[in-house]
Order: sequence, then structure tokens, then C-alpha cells
Amino acid sequence: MKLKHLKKTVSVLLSAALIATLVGCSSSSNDGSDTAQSEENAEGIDMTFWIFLDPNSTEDPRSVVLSEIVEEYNETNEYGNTVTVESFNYSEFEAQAIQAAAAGTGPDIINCFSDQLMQHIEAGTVQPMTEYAADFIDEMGDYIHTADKLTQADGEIYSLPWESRVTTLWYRSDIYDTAPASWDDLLTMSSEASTDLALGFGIGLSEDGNGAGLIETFIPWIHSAGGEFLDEDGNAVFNSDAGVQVVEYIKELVDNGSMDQTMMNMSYDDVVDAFKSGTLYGVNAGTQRAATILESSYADSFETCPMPGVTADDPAPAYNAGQTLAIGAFAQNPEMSMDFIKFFLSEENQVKWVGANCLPVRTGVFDYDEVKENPMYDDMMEWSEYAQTGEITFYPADYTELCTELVGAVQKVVYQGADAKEELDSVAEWYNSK
Amino acid sequence: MNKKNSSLGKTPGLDFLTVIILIGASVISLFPVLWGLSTALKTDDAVTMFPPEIIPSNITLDNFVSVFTKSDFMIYMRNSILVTLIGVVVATVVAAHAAYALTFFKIRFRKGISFFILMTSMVPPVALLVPLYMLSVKLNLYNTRILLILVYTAWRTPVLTWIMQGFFEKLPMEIVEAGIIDGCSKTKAFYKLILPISQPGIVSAALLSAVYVWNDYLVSSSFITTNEKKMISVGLYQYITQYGIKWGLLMAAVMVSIIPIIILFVCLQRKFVDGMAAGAVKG
Amino acid sequence: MERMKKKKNDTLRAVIFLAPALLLIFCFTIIPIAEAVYTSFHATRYAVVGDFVGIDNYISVMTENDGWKNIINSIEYVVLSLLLALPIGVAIGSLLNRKIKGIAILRTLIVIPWILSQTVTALLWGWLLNGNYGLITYWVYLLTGQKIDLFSTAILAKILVVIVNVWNTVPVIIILTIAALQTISPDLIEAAKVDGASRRTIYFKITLPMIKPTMATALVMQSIEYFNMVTLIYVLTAGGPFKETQTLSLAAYQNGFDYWHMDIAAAYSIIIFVLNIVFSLCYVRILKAKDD
Repeated sequence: MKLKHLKKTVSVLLSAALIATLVGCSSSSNDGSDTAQSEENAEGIDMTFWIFLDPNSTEDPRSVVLSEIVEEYNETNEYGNTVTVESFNYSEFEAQAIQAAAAGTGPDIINCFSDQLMQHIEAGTVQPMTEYAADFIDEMGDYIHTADKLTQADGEIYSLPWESRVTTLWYRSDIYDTAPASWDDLLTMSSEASTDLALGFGIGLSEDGNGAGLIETFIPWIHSAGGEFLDEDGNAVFNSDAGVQVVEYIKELVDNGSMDQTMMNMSYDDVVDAFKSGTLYGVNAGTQRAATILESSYADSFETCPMPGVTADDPAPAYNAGQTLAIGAFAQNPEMSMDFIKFFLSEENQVKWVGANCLPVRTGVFDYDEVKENPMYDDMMEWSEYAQTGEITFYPADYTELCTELVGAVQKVVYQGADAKEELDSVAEWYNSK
Repeated sequence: MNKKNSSLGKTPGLDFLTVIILIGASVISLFPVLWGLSTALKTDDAVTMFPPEIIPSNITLDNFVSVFTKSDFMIYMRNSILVTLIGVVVATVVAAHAAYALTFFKIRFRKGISFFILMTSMVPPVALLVPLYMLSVKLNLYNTRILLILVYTAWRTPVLTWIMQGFFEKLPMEIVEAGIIDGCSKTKAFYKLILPISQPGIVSAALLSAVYVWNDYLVSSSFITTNEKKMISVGLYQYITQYGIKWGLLMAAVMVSIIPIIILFVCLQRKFVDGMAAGAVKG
Repeated sequence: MERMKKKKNDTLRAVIFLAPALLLIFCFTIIPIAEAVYTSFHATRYAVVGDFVGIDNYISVMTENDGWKNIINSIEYVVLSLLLALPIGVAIGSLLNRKIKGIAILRTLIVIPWILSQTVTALLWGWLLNGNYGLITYWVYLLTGQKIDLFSTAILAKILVVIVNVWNTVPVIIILTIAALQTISPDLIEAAKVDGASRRTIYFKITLPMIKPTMATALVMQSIEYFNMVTLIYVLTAGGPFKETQTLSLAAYQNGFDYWHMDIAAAYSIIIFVLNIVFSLCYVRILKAKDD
């Protein structure tokens, strides 16, 4: 009896699986015919938009703004286009885009983080937008980037930043008497602040996140010390005196107890969490994290200031980055993709992004009342001002690999007593010989 | 049966020691999970509080409410249940047949085929992702749940076959041969005899695969683009953001996402713990 | 005559029984594997395969990259994990198989870690053990007045990654152990009992040998799983400190999806493939030899 029962179960399950498979098949083929149909009879086109934000996850205000903008575009655009958002986690965004491009597909509009734009260009996920973008930048008038700055080595513009972020020093006003104004200040104040349980300052020195924790501090500091990270031809030149000075300063921070060994396994996320926990009294972190940082129970005593530089009153030139929009390499109609991008960058929509705590890319929005009423208005003004001391930089396609190697070198100097010059030399040499 | 099991005599001392050891093991098992649960019940500012609060002073269900109302959590769960269930059932059925053939049929290269099948599970998935991506685009299967099911089935079949072969090989040959002599063909013997008495092995192997599919991120994140088709393992990543990890929400989502598997385990436990004892042999 | 027919029948039936499995495996594993092998002998540009380069990729893994170090790290990781997971899994599995009231609840509680994905496992442990703000770090501070820093020493980091892995995966072995124990006929134990064998003798002389085939299965399966593991280590240490926890599969992932050297990643993967085959054959050999 039992046997029959089992046999029956197996056959039922099998047929269930079969049916489900068939249903799934037919529904997927339906998807195909739907798009085919709408392409035939409607005037507008259906476009896909790949971005790291998930419009269905309304917990994040940025996602809410995203779906608002897309919805409004779908309702109001004059061509009758519709945009569908497909979202991927930031950690696998590039993988998706690059694989799709290799397979000859991809979205109509694609979001690229500025640090990764060159990778997208090299992998062929985006196409030039110069013919539309140059005029559009002029039209906007209050755009913080110039067409010149956004033009890549091949003379083309590939993407337009729609938000801005700058790395600043976050510190505890109840621990630090004043904002540290120079390296010396930071060193003295942070080493005095350190206790058994908390550290005065922290930089995430782990390989995690491909070394983002270090690099956003390293680059402003090397600029402040009068050096460059890469030269105009893209060769590594951080093995200069300035570079050595930065690495030795980081080592000094460790030797003086501002930081300790634990930083070696701390990622960018970790140092921010540590700052929120009150076990780090100062970190360099991007303004895009402000909303999360201010969730902390210490939020009242959190302050930001420009990242200290080598000399007093001359802060390190800002590390600027931003999310950008580009036209997908396989866009059905680049002009229509650009139409959406233009809409996305409208002043009204910029105001919405400010509401979601994003630093705007159009200065005009600061005159809007809604923006002035934003509780973070003063901070944003301050950050935008500091941001002007630096420029958005598009790093080479193999930037992530370079950053990871650089983190390894800094670890060796700081924790194993290796020679700073030698370590930087070897990374630069490896990079330049590639 | 029960009498036989307890025939070693009552041993309260040993039982007590067993329970103590097992409770110790559960504490180690559960400690991080409970920390996650505690985090899920905290307010945003308490999540990163230091010294950490083990039991939140301010218990809130906000994170759970957010998970359910402010994301497509239920859609992800539904997809995961669908894909896991179909994938595992198909893989188990397919593998059980293969394992039976490799154990009881007199065929040439039996050992060879058997090891060859196992070998196909030895290449790291990392190497297969890009080729599969290209293949799925060519086959027009990209961004379908069918693809997920097919890939999981194909990837779990070798291990399942291997596990089940292990169980089949241990079956007392007399039973099998007796069954065949009784007039069953080998095919019949498989359904009537082998399957029922191997229930613990089959169920435990299926369970192992279910958890694999449920938790897999590599495949489910690589081949699906539309939200409506995403699995829960991908859904959890919405709380691991560019702006940092949203611990409270992530942990709330994790706590809910493990419930179906716990239920599955509780239900199946009886199947594989009482397999033989239940008297299936006598059938 | 009769026998011949039987054999023919067997072959036909075997083909039918094996066909679905082989077909699936062929489409979704063999073809991609062949492509991966092909890729490993070619240069790639992002996800596009280019010119034939012979064994350059393998040479590059071994010379420019940390191929040898990765191989050693991988073997350390797998062997240590197995040495911990197998005995613990069999022991706990055996205890969980005893008929005691409430054991079903304990069984459920003990397998819970395995239901957590590698990402979540690594995030949770990474948080608890974080040298700056982790809960365990804080407890150690309360006890000793000093924070512990487990991740910046090579040896400790290696051990820690193994422990977290074992925490996450030991239930697999527990479950297989329980299932295997269930298939042992109670009559056998009874007979031994009648013969006056002690509890210990029964366990070590009868029970354990009976579940050995299943344990061999678990050994091979977990060995492959550990060699191929990426996410846990990637999230927990990202290979640090000083690449001391960077295993082959992690290097394959980083080269493939972080740096987009798909060719190097493919070469790494094929090396893992070969190591998996070698190790599996070794296990089979060793276990066979012991039988004889």
C-alpha cells in the first residue's frame, strides 16, 4: 500500500514539474510576443533602464524618487515611450552589463558609476552621446560639469553624472575640540582621542571592496602632498615623494595609536559602521552615506569638514565621484535614450534627488524652497563648496585591480615595516608594464 | 521495532550527557543566528550601538514590516519556492534513476560513467557562468525561471546521483535479488522496493539540494534581470547597498527567508529519520 | 542465452534510466566546461574570447599571479575544514540519532546554520568578530581588558575562515550521518548485543563501518564544495591579510569578475578542476585500500 502511495507521489510530482515547466515556457514566450507587438503598433518604444537602485524596494528614498521619475516620464513624454527599470545589486552590476554586451544585448539606458565608466567603455556596454550631450550641457546652464571635463580621451562624451558625492572627514564634535585642519592636527587629535575601546581615526585598509576604503583617502592626500595618482597618459606615478609621504603618514597614524592593526581587515563599510558604533571617532567617508551614517545614536555629535591636507587651512583637494547615465551600446534608438536622460536630469528631478539626500549636479536647485527647507541644506552647501576643490575623475578600466594591489602595498608598509618607496615602486612598475 | 531499538537498555546517564553535548552544540549553532534576530528587532540607531545590546531595550517590528511592505519580498519567496521545489524534485527523480542504473544494472564502464558524472560537478561554477550566459542568450532562455531550474537540476544531478549510489550500494543485495526473483523486473523492483527502502537517503539528498538552490546567489543573480522572476537569495541583496549594509532590514529578511526551509526540514525529518524503522521494508 | 538477453535488457534499461541525467549534464555542464577549458587557452577581452595563446594563462597564474600560494591556501582550507567537519559531523549526527525525548527539536536547531547562505554567514561572523566593534571582541575586552584582533594575523585568519566554514556546512555531514545510520538494520545491532558486545564496540566495529560508504560520499562531496567555495571567503576576508586566505576559487572569482581577466580565471578554474579530480581519486583509493 505504501509503495503504491509513493509511486503515485512521484508521478504526481513529476507531472506537476512538467506542467510548471510548460506554464513557465509559455509565459516566457508570451513576453516575447508582447514586446514584438507593441513595437509594431505604438509610436513610442519600450526601453529598459539598468540601474543599481531597486524601484520596488521603497525603503530607500532614492528608489522612491527613481520610480517617480520613471513613472512621470512614461506618462508625459511626447513620443509615447515607456521605460522599464531593471535593477542589479551594485556588486554585480558591471558583471551583468559586460556579459550582456558580450552577448550582443543590453539596456537602452545604463547607469554607470564614474569610477567604473572606463570599464564600461572598454567593455562596450555604452556608446558615445557627444552629439546630444554637448548641446544639452549648454542648455542646462547650471550643470556643475563642463563638456570638456566629461570628454574622454577619444574625444567623445559617454555619460552624464546625475548626482555627486565627495569624500569628507566625518568626526565626533564631542571628542575633537575643533575640526582637524591639517595632517598634524589630525594626527595629534586622533592619537589623543584613542582609548582602549575606541580609536581616534580609521581608514579601511582591507582588500574588501577592491580597496575602496583606502583609495578615496589616498588620492586626495597624494594631491594635497603635491603628487598625482596617474599621469595624463594613464601611467602610475603615485610612487613619487608625495605618494611615499602619504603612506608614511598612514603608518604614523598607526604608530601613534590613532589607528591599529584591526584596520587591516576593515572595509569601507566596516569603518563607517565603526564610526556609527562610536568605536571610531573619525573616518573619511563619502557624502552619499550621510543618511545611513546619521542613523547612529551619536548622530548629534557627528560633524563633517573638508579632508585635512598636508598644511593647515589648505584641505586636501576633494575626491569627487558620481552616478552617471549613459546610452546603452545596444540601445534601439539612442535619441530616445537621450530623451529619457535629459528628462532625468531636469531641474525638477534634481530637486527630487536632493530630497533623497543626493548631492545635486545642477546648482540651480539650491534656489528652490523645497531644497532650502531640507534639513541637510547647510551640509549640502558645504559639501558642494568643498567638492569644487576637486574634479570628477574617470579612472582607467583596470582601476579596481590597481587599487587592490595598492592596498596590499600599503598593508605591507604599515603593518610589516616594508619600505614605502620600494612597495609603491613595485606596484607602479607592475601597473605600467601591463 | 521500538523494542529492538531500545534493547541496549535504558541509559539515563548517557542520555543526559548526550543532551548536554547537543545543547552545547545548539548554542554554538544558534548564537550568530540569535544575534541576527536581535538585530532584526532593533531600531536603526540601536543596531550599531556599542557596547552591543544583546537583547534590544527597544524592541520594534519595523524592520519586518518594511521587509513585507516596502519590497517585493513575497514575490521573491514565491519564486524561490517554485524554483527550489521543481528543481529539486526533477533533479532527485533524474538522479535516482541514474544512480539505480549505475548500481544495479550490469553495464559496461559502470565505474567510469559514475565517476564521469561526479566529475562534472568538480568545475567551479565561476568558470561556467559566462559560457552559460552566452548559451542561454542563444537558446532564448535568458531571464527565465526555466533556465534557473534547468541549471540547478543539471548542477545538482551529479552530486545527488553520487549520494544515492552510496545509499543504494549499501542495500542488502538479498532483498533486491529476492525482489527480482519474486517476479519483478528490475524496473519494477526500483519503484516497488528500492525507492521505498532508500527513503532516508533520497530525502536527505533532496534536502541538501534544496538548501543549495535556496541559498545560491551566483546562478540566480546572473541569469535573471526582471524583478518578478528574482529569487530570495537575490532579494536579500537589496539590503546590502552601495551606501552600506542595512543590518536591521537584512537580518529581518534573512530570518523570514529561512522559515520555509526550516519547515521543510521539520516535515522531512520524520521521513529520513524513521525511514527504515517505519517498516517500509516489509511494505 | 538467457543471461545474454538479460544483459541486453539491462543495457537498454540503463540507457533509459541514465539518459535524462546525461542529457541535462551535457547541456548545462559539459558544454560550459568545454568552453571554460577552451577559454583557458585563449586571451579574453572582458567576456569575449580572442586569440589562442597556448598555455600562457597557466604560466601567468603560476608566475605573475600567486598560483602556488593559492594552491597551498586552497589545500590548507579544504583539508583543515574536512578534518574538523567530518569528525564533528559524524559525532553529532550519531548523538542526534539516539532516541531521546526532544531530540527532534535539537536536530532542527543544530542544522539551522546551514540554512543561512554563505553571504549571510560571512557577514554575521565578520560582524561578531570585527576587531573594532564586534560583540565577541567586546566580550573578550570585558574579560581581558584587551580587544582581540583575529583577522590581521595570517594563521588566525586562516583558522577562522575554516571555523566559520565548518559552522556553516557541518550540518550537511550531520544529515548524511543520520540518514546513513537509519539504514542500518536494527537486527544487526541486536545480534551484536546478544553476542555480548559493548556499546563502544558496537559503535566502532559495526555502526561506523556500516556508514563508511556514506561518509566517503560526504568526504568527496564536501571536498569539492570547499575547493569551489567563493562567497564565504570573499565576504569574510576578501583573501586578506596579505592574500593569506586567498584560495584558488577566490582568485578565480576576483580575476574573472573583479578584474575581468576571464582567461586567467578560466585557467584558475581548470586547475581547481584537476585538483578536485586528483583529490577525489585519492579519497577513493585510500578508502578502498583500507577496505582490503
